[in-house]
Amino acid sequence: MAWEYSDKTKQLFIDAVHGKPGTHLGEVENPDGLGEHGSIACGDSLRFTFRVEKNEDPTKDIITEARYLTFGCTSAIAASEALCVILEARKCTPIEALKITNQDIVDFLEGLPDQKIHCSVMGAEALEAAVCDWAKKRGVDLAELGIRLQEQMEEEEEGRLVCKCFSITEPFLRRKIKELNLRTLAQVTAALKAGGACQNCLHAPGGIQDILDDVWAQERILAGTAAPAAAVPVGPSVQNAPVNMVNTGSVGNAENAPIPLDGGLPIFGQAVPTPVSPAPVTASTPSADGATLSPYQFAKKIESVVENSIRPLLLRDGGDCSIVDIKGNLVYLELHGACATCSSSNVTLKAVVETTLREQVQADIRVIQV
Amino acid sequence: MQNSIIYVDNNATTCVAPEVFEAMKPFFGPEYFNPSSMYPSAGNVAREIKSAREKIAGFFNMDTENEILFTSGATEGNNHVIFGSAAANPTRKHIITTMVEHPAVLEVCREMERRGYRVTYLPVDRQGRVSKADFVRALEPGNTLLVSIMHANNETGVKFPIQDLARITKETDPEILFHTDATQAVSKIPYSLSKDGPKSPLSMDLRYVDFLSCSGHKFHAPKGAGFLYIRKGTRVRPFLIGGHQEGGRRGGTENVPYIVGMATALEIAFRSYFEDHGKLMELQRYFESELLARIPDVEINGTEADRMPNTTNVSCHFVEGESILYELSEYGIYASSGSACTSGSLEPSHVLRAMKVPFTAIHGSTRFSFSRYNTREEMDRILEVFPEIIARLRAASPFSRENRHD
Repeated sequence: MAWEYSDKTKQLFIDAVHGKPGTHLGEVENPDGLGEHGSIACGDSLRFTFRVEKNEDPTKDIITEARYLTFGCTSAIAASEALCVILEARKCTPIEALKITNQDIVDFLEGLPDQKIHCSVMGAEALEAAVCDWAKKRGVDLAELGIRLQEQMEEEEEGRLVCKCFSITEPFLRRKIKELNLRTLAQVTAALKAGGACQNCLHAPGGIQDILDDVWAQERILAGTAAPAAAVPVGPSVQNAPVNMVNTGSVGNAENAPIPLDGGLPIFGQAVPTPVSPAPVTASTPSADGATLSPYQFAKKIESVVENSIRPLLLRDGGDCSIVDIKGNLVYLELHGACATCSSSNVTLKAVVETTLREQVQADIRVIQV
Repeated sequence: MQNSIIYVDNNATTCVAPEVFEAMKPFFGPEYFNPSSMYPSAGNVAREIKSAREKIAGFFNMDTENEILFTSGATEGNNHVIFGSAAANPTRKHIITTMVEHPAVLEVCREMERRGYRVTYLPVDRQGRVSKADFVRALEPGNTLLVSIMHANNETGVKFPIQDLARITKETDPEILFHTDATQAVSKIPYSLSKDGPKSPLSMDLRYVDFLSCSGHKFHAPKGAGFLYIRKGTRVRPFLIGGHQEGGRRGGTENVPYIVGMATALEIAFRSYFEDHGKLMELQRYFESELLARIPDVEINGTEADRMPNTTNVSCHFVEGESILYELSEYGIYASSGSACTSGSLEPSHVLRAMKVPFTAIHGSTRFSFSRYNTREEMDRILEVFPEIIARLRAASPFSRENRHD
């Protein structure tokens, strides 16, 4: 995918990383507000700090300086730069700054490719977190001002995890779907990254599609409150029902993801790690001394022959061997030490081991060198 | 800022060699006939294809040139092998592959799972190597249909020991088919596919391999041409039906100019094999040791594994690969990355994840892949620019050495 960035985005990125005067890379020392969003594991992360000119009435503090450190792609860095430029130009209070949306950032950048929208969302989220931090430090009760940021952040952190790859919870998804007017799965992924990696949560019960359906169904219900008054008492239960369904539905399914087997290989799909059915020879063919061996006895016997007759032989010459696997009459043998590197001895060695096992255990044994 | 381009993305595609372009020209001009037509001029075109086929069969020491199927590339070849071998051997329902294959194998395997097949995806270690013991345990005599394992990984250049894996497969159960996607290795490693073994001791003995797929555009032929090797007598159904071409095994009028171009490209590659191979080894050694010396907190992915001499995948901690690439491109240096932002899926490279590259480094991977046209001067230019870029982006990053947990 070639870059489809606007010239403005490219310029902001280049100016920022080359430290052009007037750009905002860095950190405000002892900041009045600090907010972070994203993580290195998710592929992008932003640490945003600002300083205010303090007023006696803290709600009238004015943001004078904004800085960022960003781990991320070209547009993530450009979007962080844009956020700082917008903020400093507005000379606004932190509470007013909350009005800056990701769309403002996109507009400032003269557009962002669809799959990069989340870079602008990250900026807006880090700003919100920083404002919360400022409010705490300055003793401003945001809730009193009708701003539920703090509760919202806690609720969103503790909510049910929907997208495990990017640690995105249901309350956050619900808010962002409404705020950004996201209508399709593709839009959700572009804006929030949710569902963009393993994609298991897209269509799982309680997954993103379910949440999308539910959010917009509720919106329709709310929009339709002009409807008959009789509907009102039904309201809460109608609203609650899908939420509950979502919660219960998620439990069973989330655990259905492919699980790697203990000490073995991850086997996907039909998830039936059928043990290899050993070729019938093991169970029915008489061994070298005439007795019929069970698969377990057969393996034990091979082990003991290798241990007692073969390994001592090899150890004497600075080599060694081990059994990797036994499938029916096939014995997989790995050579170590001097033996492993000596190609000329391999052939004869294999023949010696094979002959010994055939004589002492079972006549049709084949040795495969691993 | 940039004066000329330094192209170090040769695992993505390569430039068409000038000799190849020349060899193709007549077939865009007077030699445009359909090789299946009856008039003598068409016969000449058919002879050109036959000659290309014979040349290629010779380069790979095949027993007969009819073991070659001209395709559109390795993606078609891989689809052909997996779908075609399943259709021809309906009683077998198990496939073995690795977690680091190209999507042209992985996605087809996922499709086979939807069709009721069981697929074992072999894991790799921190160096990108597959364990032979894991491989042996995965084999199910009587039930495994196909083993499909690449020779060299496109992202890291790590090579799998396909020679041994194919032999173990056939010694376990000769009916299990062995396929290798050799896209990144063809022309860079000499192969012998003959059942009688190699004529030259320098060729890798692939007598136990049933299928081998590749793409011409990785070795200076044009995009849209490749070939699939199918060992004589192997049970496989056609993939593209609708024509007698390729012995009825692949319908569709032959891509004459590209087939001729591909044969020419291989001819050049094998003619200058020793020279190119030595040069690439030397360039890689120099480039990697300098990278490690000049940049702190970097690692070369797969450095302890057996690796192709033309691929260097470097992970720089605390920075993101897409912004590295963008800065490199500003200097006219064209490389690629396994970071999430370049993958189009928001997820970093499945190869580096399978290798468990630490998360502080996985997004900062940059792949430099070289060709015989790269020079020492170009390496020096990259070595001059790359450390600066990393330093700048690290200054912009909220993460640093304290965040390392590996």
